Amino acid sequence: MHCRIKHIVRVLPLLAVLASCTQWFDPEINPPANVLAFEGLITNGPGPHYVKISRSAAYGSQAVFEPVSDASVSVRNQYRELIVFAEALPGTYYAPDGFSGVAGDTYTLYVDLPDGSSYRSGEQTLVDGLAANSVEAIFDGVEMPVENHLGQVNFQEVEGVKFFTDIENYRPEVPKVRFETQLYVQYILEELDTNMIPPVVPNDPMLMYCHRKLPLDRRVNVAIPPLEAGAGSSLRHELSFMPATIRFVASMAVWQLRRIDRRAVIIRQFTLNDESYAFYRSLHDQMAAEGRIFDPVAAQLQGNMVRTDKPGALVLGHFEASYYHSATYLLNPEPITRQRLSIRPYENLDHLPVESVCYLEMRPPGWIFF
Amino acid sequence: MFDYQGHQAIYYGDRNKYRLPDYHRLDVSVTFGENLRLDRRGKGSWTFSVVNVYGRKNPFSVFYKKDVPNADNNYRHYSLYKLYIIGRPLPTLTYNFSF
Repeated sequence: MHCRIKHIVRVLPLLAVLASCTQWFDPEINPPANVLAFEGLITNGPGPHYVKISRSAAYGSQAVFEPVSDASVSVRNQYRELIVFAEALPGTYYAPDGFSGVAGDTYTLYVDLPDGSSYRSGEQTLVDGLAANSVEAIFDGVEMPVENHLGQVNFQEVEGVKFFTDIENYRPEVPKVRFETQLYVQYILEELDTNMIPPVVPNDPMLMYCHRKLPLDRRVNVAIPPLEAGAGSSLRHELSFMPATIRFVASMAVWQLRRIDRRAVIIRQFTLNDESYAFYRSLHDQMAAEGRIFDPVAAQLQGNMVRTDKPGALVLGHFEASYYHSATYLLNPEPITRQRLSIRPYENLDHLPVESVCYLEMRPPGWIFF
Repeated sequence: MFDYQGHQAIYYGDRNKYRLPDYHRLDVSVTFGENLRLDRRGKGSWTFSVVNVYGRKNPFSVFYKKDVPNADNNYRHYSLYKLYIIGRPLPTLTYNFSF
C-alpha cells in the first residue's frame, strides 16, 4: 500500500507536466526604456578593448538600441594610470593602439555623458588565466532551425562537427571561463560568364581568393563546472557546432562562389573574475531558459555599473576585465564528412580581420596552402 | 531589453512590481453513495467531477522565451509566454471506499 502511494506521488507531477501548455501572452506592463546600458571589455590580449554605450528598448518595441555618442570614457588602473578611450563608431569607444591589460591589475571604468551624468564600474581584477589545451572534433547531428527559400523556419537534423575542449584545472577553485568560437573560411569566387564581361580565356574565368570569419556559436558559452570540480580536475566542455555544409552569402554582383577551400576554428577563451562569471552565468541562464515547469527561475542580470551622481538609479550592463587566450585549429581539406574528419593545431589566425578579405588572382595574407 | 555582445538581454522589473492576471476556475462534482451489502462493513461512493469547467488558462508562470529564430528577427527575438496547467475542462471519476 505504501509503495502504491509512492507511485501515485510520482505520477501526479508527471500528469501536471503532461497537462501543461504554453501560450503567447500579452501583459499590461510598462517596462523601463531608454535606460543606459554599458558593455565594456579589456583583456591582456591585443584587443580590441572597447566600451559600448547604448540605451535599452522596451519590450514589444522594435529592439533598436540607440547608441550614446560624445561620452567621455576612460579606464583607470590601481596605479591611477588613465587610459582614455576614443569614439570610433557611434556609441563605441576604443582604447588607444598598443594598450593591453596586465594580469593581476585592477581596472575601473569611468564614463561622463554630455547631459552631466557620471557612471563608474566596480573594480575589475584581470585574473591570471588558464588555457584549454586541446580541442576535439566529433561528427554528429543536431536539431537546428533551417530557413527555406520562402523564409520559413523548420527544425531539421543537420550533420556537422561538434568541437569540445578539456579544461585542466590546477587551482583550488573551479575554473571560470567563457568561450567564443570563430570559423575561419577561405574560399574562391569566380567571375560569372556574362555577356557584358566575357572571360578573356573561355572556360577559364577570373578567380578571387578570399577569407573571412564567421561566428560559430550564437549562445553565451560559459563553462559550468560540476560542483565537485576542484584542483586537478578536468572539465570537458562543448564549444560549438559547425554544419558540414556551410552557407553564407559570398556572391558579389558578377562573382559567384566556386568552392570553399579550407576551414579552421579559432577558439577565443576568456578567464573571468567572480563578478564577470556571475554576470555571464546569469546571461547564459537567461538565454537558455525555455520556461519549462521545472526550469530554474530566469535570472536577473546584476551588472557592475553604477551612476555616481544619482546613486540607486538603474544602470544596465557590465564592464569586464578578462584574461584572454586564443588558439587556431585547422580542419582537413574539403569536403568534411563523417569519414573525412581531422583537426590539428595551426598557427594562430586570430589577428586576421573578421570581414572578407579578397585578392584578385592571388592569395591574400594568411592563406592556408596545405 | 538591452544589447550585450549582440544578444538581447532582459532586465526584469522590480520584485512584485507586476501582478499576474486573476486566477479563477470552476470545479463541479457529483457523488453517488452506495452501501456494500455483502457484510455492511464498508461504504463506497462514486464521484464524477469536472475540473476547470470553463477551461480558463490560468497562468502558472510567465516568462520570456526566444521566438523561433529566423532572418527577420536576427535569431534573437524574445516574446512573453505563459505556462498554464489543465487549460481545458478535465473530467475525473473517483471511487471512495471507507470502512
